[in-house]
Amino acid sequence: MSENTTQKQSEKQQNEAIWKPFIKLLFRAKLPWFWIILLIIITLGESQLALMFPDLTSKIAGGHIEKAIVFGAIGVIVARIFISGILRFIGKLTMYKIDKSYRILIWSQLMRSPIRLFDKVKANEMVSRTSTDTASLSIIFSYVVPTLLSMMYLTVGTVSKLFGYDWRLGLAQVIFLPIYFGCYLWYGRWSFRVNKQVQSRLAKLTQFLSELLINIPLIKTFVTEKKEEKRGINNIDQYYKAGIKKGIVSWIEHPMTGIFGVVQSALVIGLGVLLISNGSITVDTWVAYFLYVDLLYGVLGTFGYLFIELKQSQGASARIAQLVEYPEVVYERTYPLEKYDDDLVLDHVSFSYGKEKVLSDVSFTVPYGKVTAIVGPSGGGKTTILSLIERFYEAAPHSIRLGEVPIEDFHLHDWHKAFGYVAQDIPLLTGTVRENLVYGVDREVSNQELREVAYQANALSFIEQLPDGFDTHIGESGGKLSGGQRQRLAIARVILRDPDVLLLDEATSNLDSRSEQVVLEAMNRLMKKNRTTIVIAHDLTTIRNADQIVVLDQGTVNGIGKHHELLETNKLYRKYIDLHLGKPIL
Amino acid sequence: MSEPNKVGWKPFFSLISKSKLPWGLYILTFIVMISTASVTLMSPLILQKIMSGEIFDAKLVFQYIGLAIVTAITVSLSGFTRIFANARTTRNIQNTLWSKYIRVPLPFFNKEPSLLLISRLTHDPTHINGAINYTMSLLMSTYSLVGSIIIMWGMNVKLTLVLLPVIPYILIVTLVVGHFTQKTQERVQYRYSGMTAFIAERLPKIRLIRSFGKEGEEIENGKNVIENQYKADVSRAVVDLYGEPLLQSVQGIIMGLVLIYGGYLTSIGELDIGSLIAFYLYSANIHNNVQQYGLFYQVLKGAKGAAHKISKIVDSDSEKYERSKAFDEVLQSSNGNLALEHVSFSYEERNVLKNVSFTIPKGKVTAIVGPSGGGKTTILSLIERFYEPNVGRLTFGNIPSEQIHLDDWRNAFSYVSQGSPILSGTIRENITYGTEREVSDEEVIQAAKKANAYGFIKDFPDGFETEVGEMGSKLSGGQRQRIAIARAIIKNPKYLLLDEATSSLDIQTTTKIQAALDELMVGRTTIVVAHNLSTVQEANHIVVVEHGMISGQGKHDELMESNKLYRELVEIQFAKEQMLAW
Repeated sequence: MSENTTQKQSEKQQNEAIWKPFIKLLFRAKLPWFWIILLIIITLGESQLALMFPDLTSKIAGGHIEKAIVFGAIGVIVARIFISGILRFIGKLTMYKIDKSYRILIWSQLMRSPIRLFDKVKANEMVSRTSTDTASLSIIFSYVVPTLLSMMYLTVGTVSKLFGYDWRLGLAQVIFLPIYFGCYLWYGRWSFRVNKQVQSRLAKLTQFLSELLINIPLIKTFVTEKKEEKRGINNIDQYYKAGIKKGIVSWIEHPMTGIFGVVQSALVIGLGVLLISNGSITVDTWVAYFLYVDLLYGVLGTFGYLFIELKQSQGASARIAQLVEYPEVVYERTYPLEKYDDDLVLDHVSFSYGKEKVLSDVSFTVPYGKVTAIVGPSGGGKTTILSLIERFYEAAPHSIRLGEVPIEDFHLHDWHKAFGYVAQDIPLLTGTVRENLVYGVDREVSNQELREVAYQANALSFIEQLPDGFDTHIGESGGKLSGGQRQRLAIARVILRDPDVLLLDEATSNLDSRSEQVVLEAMNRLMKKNRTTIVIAHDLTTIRNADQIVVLDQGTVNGIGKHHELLETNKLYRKYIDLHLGKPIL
Repeated sequence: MSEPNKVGWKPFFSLISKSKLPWGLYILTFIVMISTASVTLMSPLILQKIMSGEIFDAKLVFQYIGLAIVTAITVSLSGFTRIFANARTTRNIQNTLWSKYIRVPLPFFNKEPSLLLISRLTHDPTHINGAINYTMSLLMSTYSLVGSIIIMWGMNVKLTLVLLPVIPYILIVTLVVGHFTQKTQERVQYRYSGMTAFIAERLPKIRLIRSFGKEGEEIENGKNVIENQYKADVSRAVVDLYGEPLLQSVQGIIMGLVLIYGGYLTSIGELDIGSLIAFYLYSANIHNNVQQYGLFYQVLKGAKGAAHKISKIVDSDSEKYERSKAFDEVLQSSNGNLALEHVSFSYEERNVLKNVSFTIPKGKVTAIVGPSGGGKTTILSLIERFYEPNVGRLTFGNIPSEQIHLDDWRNAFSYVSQGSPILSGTIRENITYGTEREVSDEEVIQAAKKANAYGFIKDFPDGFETEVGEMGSKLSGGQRQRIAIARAIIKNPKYLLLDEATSSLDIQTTTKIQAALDELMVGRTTIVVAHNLSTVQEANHIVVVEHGMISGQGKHDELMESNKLYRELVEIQFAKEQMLAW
């Protein structure tokens, strides 16, 4: 119980803290102010028309069936019909314009955000922030604000009209309205909270389903169908219960509206009886009063809903702000990188992703034009070194230098251009073979050249066997190709790019020994031509001939040297080689 | 979108009849709804009198307030029962679906991506609910429409007759607008999923984009995709620009008719003011109720589609566990050898295995080697009986496998694969997964030790009670693999299927895992898809699989003589070791 209250308290604090980024974010994107203002004007115009109506009908009801009044009423109806379409259209248009500008804002920002952000926020969360969360922000300007304004306008309009009829009629509403708003405000808050619970239950259910559906073979192997069936039904039941709770909360609106309706009717009729009997107002005025009140509460009925929308967009904006407010990568630095032609020096480099230290005091030199290999157990920080060299993350200033110049002083674009990276997970994009090959270069590439690089990467023969050759679609993320084929495309892509420095990260580890053979041949070609190369591999045979081997263990350098030197001097290295040879460990 | 339109109603009704729906609640809801409609029908009659000045008639006033109270109660009540009815329907359909998911044969999952299966369960049942609710609303609408017309007819025939032609107009307008709305909406949806797919593909590849300096270009691409989505949105909004006034015009026409013609009738004395007000109030009923008919078609179409998709799953065959023979029975009465006899197999159109025959002798180690994509893993899946051969058969002790109970069969086998699937939960739960008996802590520790996993498990603050995260994400690849091995050790199977990992782990971890696997293989019939030469050389029987066919089988020495591929594989391995030798 006490846990519950503290939870509520922290939620409250969170809520208060949320308003600031919310407002800040609202003005970050280029908003279509013209349309927003137009929308507000038209919405208010519509409210004005709505306000005119009860007056006219009450007169008709009172028997004043004069032409002017009847046609006035019809005129109002026709005008409202035409405005309704325009209003809907402009409302949606505004909404979509805002959607668009937030999406572009987020997308552009993400493309320039540091990799750290991508470590922190999962990719699919980023997707939903760009697609769904933006929609709940745009609804603020395109719907919530105009509607709230028109509610205010109608409320003020109606109440002042009523004061015009008789001050007691007006006063009754002035007393009644705050109670009404207060109740709906409270209700909206509650209902928002419950909605959130249901959503998290649904997320849990979805997560459960996705984990188990992928692991169906496991379930079948272990014959645990009955157990998993029960677990699933339990999960569904939890969701069901949350659903019922939500249902009941949203149901409360019925009796609430009902009670307000009854009280309102009693008030209207009671006042009518009282005021008509003492001659303060006529029956006609009372009818008008009746119709105004009816109109007002018809419109106010969505107030609770508006409030929920507002709360939701608040949450969405906090999530978006987390992405958008993250400091951008700075591309422009002090120097252009004209030529990568010096040794790269790592000078007492330490690094951590969060609390956990990944590298401590790592120092070695990557000699220009030579092959440097990094070996060591997984989790030892090998890939982190490559990431630091590529400047996906920033090490401490001056700790990595090209010759004498700290690498963080080079323009980032120039720096990235100097590198070619072939990784274990082989990122290919949906599209054709050709599109993937030319992805890394900005110039036009001739067919001849494409064939040449494909040949060098040992990829030409399989590409030619594909149904459309270089124009074959390779499926989502290259899913139609085998691992070896994908890896060779990635290599061809790097050959075409012809980088000054080559980074190879476990490039052959997912291949069987024959495909590995073919890929290695291609990689060897790539490493020639005096290209500075840094290579990480589990399979030590691939790095045996490196000019320099760095043994990295638990974030520190354990030894540096050539293969035969390390064999003599480095215990860890020798142990590794022994393991490879299947020798018993002494 | 490619959903065939010729879906009949059969799946819908068969689904409704199969998934025990809370009919009692639905009927109760319906009765309450009808009473709401009746009360609503009465209220204009009273309001009319009050408005024409009989406000001092206390009886009338109390009647009116009474009606308001009754309406509030009935509306609330039907809302209340509806919550339970809907939630139960959804839950029942979901349960039926889930039980099915767990039991359909594996090929089913190759055809349906799991994301779709999830939305089938979480999302589609609401369509069925929608259809049932809508049908009830429609019946209620019909009731109050007919009621309104009868009452109006009673008050003034002429005015009623003038209003009747509006009904087809409402229907036409609703249908036409609905049609265009749906058409543009489909495009919006299509573009929207295109946009999501674009973003979802790019974000995980941010390093690629960065290292190739493609940020600018991808920003432009993204803008284009977003712009396209925007354009589809706008065309959807244009439909509203015309549709909304059309829909609203209905109300305008009705009001106009009532005011003008009714006003005329009043002025010539054929209608009194009170009736005119009543007419005015009733005419709103016409609009709201007729509109329901127009929308009905769309709701039903959605429900029909959803029911069709759900039924397809619910009606598909489950795996049959009960067969004629028990595994142990066969094991005792035969030699216990497994054999593939002229087996061919294909996934959909792709041929994977062609006429494969070999025998797996009991108590020995059989290794399968060959290049990736050759069909090695498929052979293991067939032995697990995840799939059935298209041609040929799998026998156990000369008995065709399909005669042996499936659960028995799978309990006798353990499959340790490269992926080593781990479920969220604690390490202990994962190690004891699938064992029905009570497992002592001592036994779990022993298994972990044998699997070379005890060392790292001990180092976790919570030891065996450590939560492994979704899909075991808090563990490293090597750790997951060793837990999977411990799990197989606890299960203590008679037959072991091993899919050796390629070298995505470092050599120290690989060595540890290899040691654990060696431990696991002791005394069991083992079929291993091998990459490691030492495993292969120690095997009693080696089968070389290439392009779905067996290109040779025998012992190591024999194959070195007779099989070119085998020799090549061994030589590559040998050359590698030569390079490192010292």
